[in-house]
Amino acid sequence: MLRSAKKLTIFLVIIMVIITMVLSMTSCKSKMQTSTGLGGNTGSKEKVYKVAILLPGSVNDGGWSASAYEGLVKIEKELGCKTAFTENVKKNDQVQIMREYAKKGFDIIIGHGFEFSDALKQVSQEYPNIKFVGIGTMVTGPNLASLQFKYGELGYLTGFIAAKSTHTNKIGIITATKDPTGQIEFDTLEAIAKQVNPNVAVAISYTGSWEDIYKAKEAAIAQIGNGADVIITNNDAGNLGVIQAAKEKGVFVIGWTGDYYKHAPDNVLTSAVQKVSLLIFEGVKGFLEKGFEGKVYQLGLKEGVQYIGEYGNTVLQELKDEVKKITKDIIEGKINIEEIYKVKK
Amino acid sequence: MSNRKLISFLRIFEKDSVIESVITPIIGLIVGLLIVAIIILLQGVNPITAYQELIFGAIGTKINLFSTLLKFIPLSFTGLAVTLAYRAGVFNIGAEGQLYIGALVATWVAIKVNLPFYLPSLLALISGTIVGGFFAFIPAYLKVEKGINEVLTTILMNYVGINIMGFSVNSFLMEKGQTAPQSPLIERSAHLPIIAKLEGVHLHIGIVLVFVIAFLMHDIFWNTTWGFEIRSVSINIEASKYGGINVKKVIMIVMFVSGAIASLAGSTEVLGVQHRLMENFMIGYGYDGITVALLGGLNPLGVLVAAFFLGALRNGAYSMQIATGIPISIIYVVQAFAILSIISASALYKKFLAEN
Amino acid sequence: METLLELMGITKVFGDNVANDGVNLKIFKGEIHVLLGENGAGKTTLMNCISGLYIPNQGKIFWEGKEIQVKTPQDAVKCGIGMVHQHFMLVDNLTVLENILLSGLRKRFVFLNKKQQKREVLKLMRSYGLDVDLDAQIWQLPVGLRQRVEIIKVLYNDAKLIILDEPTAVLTPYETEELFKVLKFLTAQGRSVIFITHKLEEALRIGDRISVMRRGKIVHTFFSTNVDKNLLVRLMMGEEIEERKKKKSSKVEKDKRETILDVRDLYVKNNQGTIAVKGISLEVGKGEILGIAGVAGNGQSELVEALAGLRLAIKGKVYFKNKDITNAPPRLLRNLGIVHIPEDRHKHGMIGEFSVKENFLIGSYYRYPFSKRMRLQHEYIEEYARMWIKKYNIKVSDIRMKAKYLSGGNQQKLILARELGKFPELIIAAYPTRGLDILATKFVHEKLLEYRDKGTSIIFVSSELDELREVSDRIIVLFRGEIAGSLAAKEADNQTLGFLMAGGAPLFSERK
Repeated sequence: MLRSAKKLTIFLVIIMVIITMVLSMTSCKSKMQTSTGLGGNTGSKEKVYKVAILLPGSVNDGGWSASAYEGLVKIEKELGCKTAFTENVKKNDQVQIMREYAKKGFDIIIGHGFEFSDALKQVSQEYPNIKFVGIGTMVTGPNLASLQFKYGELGYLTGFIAAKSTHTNKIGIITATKDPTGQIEFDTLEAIAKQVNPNVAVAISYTGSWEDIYKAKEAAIAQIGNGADVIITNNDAGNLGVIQAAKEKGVFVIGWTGDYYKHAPDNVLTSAVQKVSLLIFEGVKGFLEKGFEGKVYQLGLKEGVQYIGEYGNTVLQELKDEVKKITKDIIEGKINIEEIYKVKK
Repeated sequence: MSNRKLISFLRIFEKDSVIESVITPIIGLIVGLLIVAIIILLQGVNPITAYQELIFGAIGTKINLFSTLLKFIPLSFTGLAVTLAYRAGVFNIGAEGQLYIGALVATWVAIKVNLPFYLPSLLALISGTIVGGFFAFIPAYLKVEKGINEVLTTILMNYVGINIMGFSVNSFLMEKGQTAPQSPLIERSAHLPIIAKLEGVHLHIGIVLVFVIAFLMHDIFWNTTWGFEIRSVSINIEASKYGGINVKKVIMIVMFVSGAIASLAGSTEVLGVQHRLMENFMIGYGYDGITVALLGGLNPLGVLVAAFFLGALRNGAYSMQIATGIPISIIYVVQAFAILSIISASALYKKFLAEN
Repeated sequence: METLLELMGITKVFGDNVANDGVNLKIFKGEIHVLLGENGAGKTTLMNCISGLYIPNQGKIFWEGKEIQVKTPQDAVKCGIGMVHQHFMLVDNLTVLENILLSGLRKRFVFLNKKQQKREVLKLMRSYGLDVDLDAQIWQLPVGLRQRVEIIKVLYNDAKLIILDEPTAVLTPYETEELFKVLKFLTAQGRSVIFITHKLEEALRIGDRISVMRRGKIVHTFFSTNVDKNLLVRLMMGEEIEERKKKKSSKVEKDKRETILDVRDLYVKNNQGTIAVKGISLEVGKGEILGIAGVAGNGQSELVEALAGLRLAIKGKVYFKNKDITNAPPRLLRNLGIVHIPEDRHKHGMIGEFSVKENFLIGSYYRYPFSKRMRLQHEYIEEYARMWIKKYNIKVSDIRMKAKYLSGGNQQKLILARELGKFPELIIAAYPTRGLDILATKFVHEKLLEYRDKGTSIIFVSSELDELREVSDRIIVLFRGEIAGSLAAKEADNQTLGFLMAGGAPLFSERK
């Protein structure tokens, strides 16, 4: 096939390129892999726990899987566990990978996302001595727990801020799909907003996509057109489109999941921050310190895994203080959020 | 038809003899593994240890072997689908969309139909194949009637299939009271019959279906008038017309069947393994079918061998990753080198033949 | 005479088949050297060894006295050897200029200065009197001009030796004349030409020297001035060929013949969408051979394809034994007993990638006893194939061998055996002897006559007037898609036919 030296050279160059690409790829991965040090507790006689996590995406995805990896690193550093992960896990490989980790003697195996529910259930029954944890799942068993953000809390706080900030008495919500957890947040939000200001009206738009920035922006513009001057956006990548629209039209916006203050300091009121990395970290920490129960753990303001982020430039100190107080009340149990959204239902 | 050139290039992969088609993927993968051993070595890992883990993870225990077989089934189905279409001179890059849509329909039927004795699963499989076949038929129709290149249309149809499925599990097929884009669990009565059980790993009847289809296809290709028509069309459309073959009909039927086979990859996975439909439930298996088909010499029996080895590679890669830290993606490098080595070897062999 | 190229003991073996057996050959500067031989004599193989497509198993090649290694076509081009293949190596949807530049080994930069290159090519063309529209796309050109493009390509690479493989097989008589002029001009400039052919007359006309090849060996080399034609034929064939028997004309009297095929006012379009067949009406009687003459491209191919069900007629009717078969599909026609020996055997007649055995199935695979309830009956098929191979003396070592490895003559015999084996009532034979050597041509003629005498009707399209007159009972001449004249073969002579082929005007005067 390789008739002339020229062709041979081209062929070799291609091979070299492939090899270097692979090498660079594998080497950066392996650094992560081999950094499974034993942490600060190596000296003591305490057992070193082994924690493994299965990620649906890549550790470089800058989102869901990346933050889980962040949490894992924190677990290794601060809890002294030995950790491992497998990224880009396909649905039909979940069971097999969990088994492999189980066989290799891991103590805690985490499935990162609702899509691991079935696999967690199945494999946790096969290995009763190993603890299994689902993130964002609802599954439980004797050795199977789920970790969730405590819902309602952020809805309560954002609803309060929004109602205090609107001048037109119209609050808009933009999200991708109509899912029950989101619904609870927004029900709480609406209820609390009306409590603060009975004249407030809340409208929700569903964009159908978590990634489509333009769709989210269009939805925001439509909401603004209808008179909304505070928009709450829980739309992942779409949040950026909403913030863009708010900037252009000069209205307020409250971001969700990340902290969006820097994107538009004059328009962003604040952000409802949810830290997946902390959720995992705090969850595992809880298991190690307080023991493991086969139930759905809800972590929230109290554990610091979700909180109200940086305030925008326009937010008055008065409002900030009020929010601070409510946060404290929620943590101390003086405000029962569950009641609020249950009433609404 | 611009695909002609691609077809004649891919002819280098074509192996009509059973022995050749069985040996080629094995040799190709061995070469791939040898080259990758160097990369593993450069990672500071002993390739022998890594490959021991790989082999152990793939076939070391009965459970591992069963898991490998569970991967072998969908890889075979898509590989066979691609092979069938190729043998009629059509590129089915749309196996991905066909298996998604097949899985969707099968799930829907399995959930809705309430009948005894495996009837729901049978019904589900059949409706999946019909819709999957229809899904592949559309590009075939556009090709023969409007002259639209099927490579383009099948790729585009993938997105249609994936998105329809995604929409369904987010709407009418979504489990009640759930936040996740997934269907409810399929009732026991609609599961595929299990032929072997091993603590948690259930080998379903799909594996029998794979073998039946592969051997049937092999027989049809070389022993029936259909096969003669199909192979004629792939090589020389003009001569086929001259020989009294209805070329359009052959292409449309073959694509329908190809889509039907591809859909089985999805429907058997849902009915036999996962028992519920979920967004992204088996990403990339449609495209893997192309790799399997090429490694398997575009020969149905070679496809079985290639699918088994690729399945084993994938399954073993997890245990290798966990034990040695070599990332799973390394197996794609193995695959790439396997294909490259087959191209080189075939070309050299042809040159050798030409010179002697 | 100065020697340009010398071959010493070139041997090339394919499997059991010795294609070239220790060939020695000298080519002088400025000569036209004809390589004469039957199909399968090894001419093309030998040339492929020189031009780098094959590597000989043994032997040496000397170029201007120095031994050279020709491993790839590029090596050959670098030395100054250029080959014009029988099947042109042109890219159909590129322009003439682009095709020429593509082949260019010299001045190959990443960015081509097309304008400057065009000027150079034009200069080259003018200096050799070769005229082609450089901006036309290849598919738009007639065969003669495509060949000219090939020659320009070779000259563009400054070839000192130009090899032409059966260059006249696809040309009209006029185009052949033009080609000869070009070749003479090239040799006058000191370039050498190797001219491969199996046609005696041509060899004698154009060649300075003639080498006769037979069974992979060069039997003898002559100067064309002192050569005995009969000796040449004998050397070529290796046997005395008998005088062609004066054939008996059809047994059935003309007016008593039952009409088998009746074509009425047929219109057919060609690939470019223009009407190629304009209202042709003709009748073929039982046991009659109707010859169709005409310069290539006057509607013969389209007419044949329309009759064979491969091309739609846009108007008009075709009746076969009073049954309307207008635009009937090929399978129906074959079931009625109409077979077609196609013009282009690679495109239509066979599937090169299939085995010889499978090629016997084309057009009948769906019939009992070839298949039974959709299953191919391999035993029967093999037996059948072997029988016809033996009957038609087709040279095949293994029926599982791919048909593309057969020589051209054997491929044509295979098609003939397959189609005639269907015991047809009507044979549509388009250029069935094109590219065949004398013996194979004779074989085809005999078969056609044999079937005619059995009562089969035959449409026989050819561009060779002698052959048409010899085989046909009646000849019609096509000109620009219409029938320019119809006459009994007995009355036809080459002058009359030539006159009609040119549309009633002197034969070549209209062409530029």
